[in-house]
Amino acid sequence: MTQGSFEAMGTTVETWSEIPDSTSAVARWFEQVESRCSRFRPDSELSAINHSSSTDISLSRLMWEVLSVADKARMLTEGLVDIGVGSAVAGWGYDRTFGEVTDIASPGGQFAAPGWTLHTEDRTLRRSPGTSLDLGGIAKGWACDRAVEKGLAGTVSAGGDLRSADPGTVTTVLDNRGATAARVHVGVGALATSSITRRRWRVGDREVSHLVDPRTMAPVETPVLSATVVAPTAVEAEIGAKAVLIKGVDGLAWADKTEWIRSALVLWHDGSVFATTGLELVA
Amino acid sequence: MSRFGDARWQRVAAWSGAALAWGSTIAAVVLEPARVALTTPPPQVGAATTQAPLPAQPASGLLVIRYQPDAPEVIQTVAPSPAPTAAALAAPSPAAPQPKSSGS
Repeated sequence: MTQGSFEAMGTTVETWSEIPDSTSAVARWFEQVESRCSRFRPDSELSAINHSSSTDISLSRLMWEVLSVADKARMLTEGLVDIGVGSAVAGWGYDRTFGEVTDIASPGGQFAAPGWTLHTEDRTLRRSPGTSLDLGGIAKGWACDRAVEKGLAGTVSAGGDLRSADPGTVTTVLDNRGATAARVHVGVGALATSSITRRRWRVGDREVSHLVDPRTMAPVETPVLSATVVAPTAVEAEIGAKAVLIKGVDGLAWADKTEWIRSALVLWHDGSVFATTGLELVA
Repeated sequence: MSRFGDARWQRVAAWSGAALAWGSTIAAVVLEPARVALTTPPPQVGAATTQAPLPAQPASGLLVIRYQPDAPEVIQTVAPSPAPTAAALAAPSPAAPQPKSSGS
């Protein structure tokens, strides 16, 4: 088993594999995804979509796959995870890579509710005026999923998203102070953590995080500092964690009754750690 | 001649077995609260708390891994903290993906 890492999508990607040169293969795959899906690269397909004045836009095969996953994510989370919040994310100040984000006096305008649909017959995206896409976490989770499903590595972890094909995979979930919140058996499956304790800045006198609630088009206000979800795929874990965080008080109860979520854990605002009873803890 | 014949030894063994079983039951009852405590929410905290004191109870129970409602230093860290990197928030432990016969 060899371990490797590289930087991509604004984070460190780690790989575990018994395949020689696995890390390089995963790095090439992530570059392929990022070159299409980054909103910070002016030459990416996503930037072209967001800057286009057209309402109907033809998509590459890769972008179609990612948006199809995002469409399913929106349905599975009852609209709580919606890539159409891009204008609000940027308008509240996260309009550049996070290292360059600065405090701002006020949000840049009012943001219309997201509106976008996919059309299979001609592989196009149709969106309402003002809707801008932010593929952030979904593209990252999907890249992890596909890397493992394509056999490029046994386990891939990228900025809080982990996908594993190894029954023995155990993950340590840390709290916001770096202490162990729990050690969790993931096995063959995935785990993702969504947090509001990192990527924070000020808008006027309010401190905000990067996670936008599509219902308000404003940064989420929640008693949950971070949410971790175990699910079959990294995309499911990623969107599950975001939904638990946005749902706040009701997050764990929702995760508990959601079939595609195996278990969930939250770091509460007071430092407490709660979970659904399905969580497989490891001593 | 021994005062303890076969029948008497059998009675002693039977009583000893019964006492052992009874003792185990007592031990189980004593241990049970500790196990149940893991799935029972702790008491509500004061109304002065500005944030919700507890998550809504999931149908299958709430697993309390750590409960510390009176930890003001932690509340302060709701503000940006220099803590873990993105990867560290869900980093597999170094020993995690150990090679296994059925593994990757």
